[in-house]
Amino acid sequence: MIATRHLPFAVFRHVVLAAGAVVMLAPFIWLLSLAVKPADEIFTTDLRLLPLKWDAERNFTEAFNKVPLHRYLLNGVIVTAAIFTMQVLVALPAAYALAKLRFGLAKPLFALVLLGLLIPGHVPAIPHYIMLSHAGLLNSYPALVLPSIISVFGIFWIRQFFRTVPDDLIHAARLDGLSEFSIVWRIMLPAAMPALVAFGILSVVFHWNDYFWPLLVVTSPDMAMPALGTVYLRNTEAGTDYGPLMAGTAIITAPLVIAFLFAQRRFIEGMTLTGLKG
Amino acid sequence: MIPAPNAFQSGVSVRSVSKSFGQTRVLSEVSLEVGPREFLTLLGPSGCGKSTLLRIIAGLDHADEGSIALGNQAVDGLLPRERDVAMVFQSYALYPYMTVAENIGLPLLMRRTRSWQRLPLIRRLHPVARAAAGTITRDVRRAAEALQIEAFLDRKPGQLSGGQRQRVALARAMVRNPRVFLMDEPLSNLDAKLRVAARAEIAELHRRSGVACIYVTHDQVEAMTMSDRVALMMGGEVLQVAPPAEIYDRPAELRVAEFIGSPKINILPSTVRSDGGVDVPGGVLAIRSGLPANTAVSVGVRPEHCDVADGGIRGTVRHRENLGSDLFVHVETVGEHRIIARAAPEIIDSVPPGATVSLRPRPDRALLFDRAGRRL
Repeated sequence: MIATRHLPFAVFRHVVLAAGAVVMLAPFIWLLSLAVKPADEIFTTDLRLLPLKWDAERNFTEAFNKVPLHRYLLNGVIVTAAIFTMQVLVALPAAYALAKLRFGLAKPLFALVLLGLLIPGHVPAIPHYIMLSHAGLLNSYPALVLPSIISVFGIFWIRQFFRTVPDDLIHAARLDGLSEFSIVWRIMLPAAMPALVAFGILSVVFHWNDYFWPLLVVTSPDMAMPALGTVYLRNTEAGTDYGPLMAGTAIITAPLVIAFLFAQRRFIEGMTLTGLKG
Repeated sequence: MIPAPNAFQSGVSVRSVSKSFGQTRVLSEVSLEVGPREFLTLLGPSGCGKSTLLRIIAGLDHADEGSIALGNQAVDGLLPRERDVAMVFQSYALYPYMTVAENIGLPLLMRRTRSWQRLPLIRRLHPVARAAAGTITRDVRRAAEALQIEAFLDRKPGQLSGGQRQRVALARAMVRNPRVFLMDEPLSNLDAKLRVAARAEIAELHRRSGVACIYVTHDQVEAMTMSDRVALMMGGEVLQVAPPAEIYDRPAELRVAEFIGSPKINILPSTVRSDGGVDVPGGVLAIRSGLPANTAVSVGVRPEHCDVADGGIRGTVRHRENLGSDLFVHVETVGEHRIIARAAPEIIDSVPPGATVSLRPRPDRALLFDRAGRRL
């Protein structure tokens, strides 16, 4: 009964969602399609997803041969891991202090964090660049990592999560002999895991795909991050070879997609912020 | 089963402690002495400041004025972990991501090892850290056995029932043999049956540990059944500190008398007669008050000291409560005063609602209070 009554709506709902999914997925499908086609098939007028002649092997080998793609991937892993680690080291104690400690400056400091959320990341780019230049750190890992280690969003996000942790848990820990730092790492960190996973995905995706900042501070191709690296694929020699370009793009996109699929459940858990209850 | 008490045994001294939250004064000039092995209950309605006082003793909150001493040592400047007190919380406050064994062992781990010895690899390899781990496992097991939770040591708190969690919280408190136990309504999240069993068990554990215990509750039954002494708090003040029987039989003031006892004590506005007796609504009580005639007093009579018998205060039965062991008869006298009398359940048929009965309070058990509420 109920199922039949709601059938028209169910169909409508699925059509809308499917249309949305197609719009979102189309560029990726097209990307994968181009990545396996030979060059002469890419610019034909007829629209076909699968190639007449599979040329995946050449495109992917070319992508690795033309530029040090593996180097970009390694850079991406090192830099995003370093950024996320440092962000956690800063954000967790800061979030704990803002959420659970009572001190005179708690409110003004939290207001500053909120203010920080309003400032676009590009605004401090030039001061950061000048500072790094003076420190002689341009074109290095520190140049890619340092400007991002304080994430006001991370502080805000984890602070909101910490607010849901009962005060008694912290009181018990203090009586059990834990210092404030031990409380952060032993008690609050495990409690914040879902929020941390969600934040981790946002942070890694953002920095993995970041094109703007690496473009400013990186001058040698060796230091390029994945997104910047694919540009070198485009610029090499005369005319762009689209097959390898698409293959390279597919390769740098894949780790994120795979990571998200693995962490999907925890990510959604963290996003909906169902804290620890019971 | 429980480790032997420290040679250094101490009580707790609370000296003129005051505390305000903003404009609200939650504790005013509270002083209290707890003996070295005593079980003292802080009893009072919610919001009377009893939990705040407990938190101040633990060091989780700071007093605006006054000082706290454990034994002979003033502890006002000390952090909670330096005070060597253990606390059981109403919510149990177990660490949800640790197993029961880790929960109980954490206070020992933090005290018996240094921070570098707790680092992942060193914890397994360093001889001192390994020896500490051995003693911790042994003591955790011992505490778990004392509370019969050794079967759950590998579980997480989320997999336990309320009663089991409460035992884990107790084990975590007693495992390190602290100077004093602080308990903040530890039984209020248990169902009624479990609560009765846990009452006896906590009292027994306290006797065996031989350590002072301060127990916060709003439940007078817990206070009456478990304590050596009860400190009754109201409005941020301690009204009376006395053993349970004394606080029940000889309350220092009207508010104490009204808080302790269920059903509540009957309070009758009365006047002293010239012959020494007291006029109460609906009758006369033969009390030798020794007060001048026409003094306004309040007479307090507990339901069990008020017999249904001829020749007393006359009134109409409005309601009956048969508990099986007792029958409580609610009687309305002149001036719409309600008096509750306890009677034997067998007489229930002789006191139907609407019937006129006579109540005879026992003069020797009646309590007289002056207009300010002090007992005379």
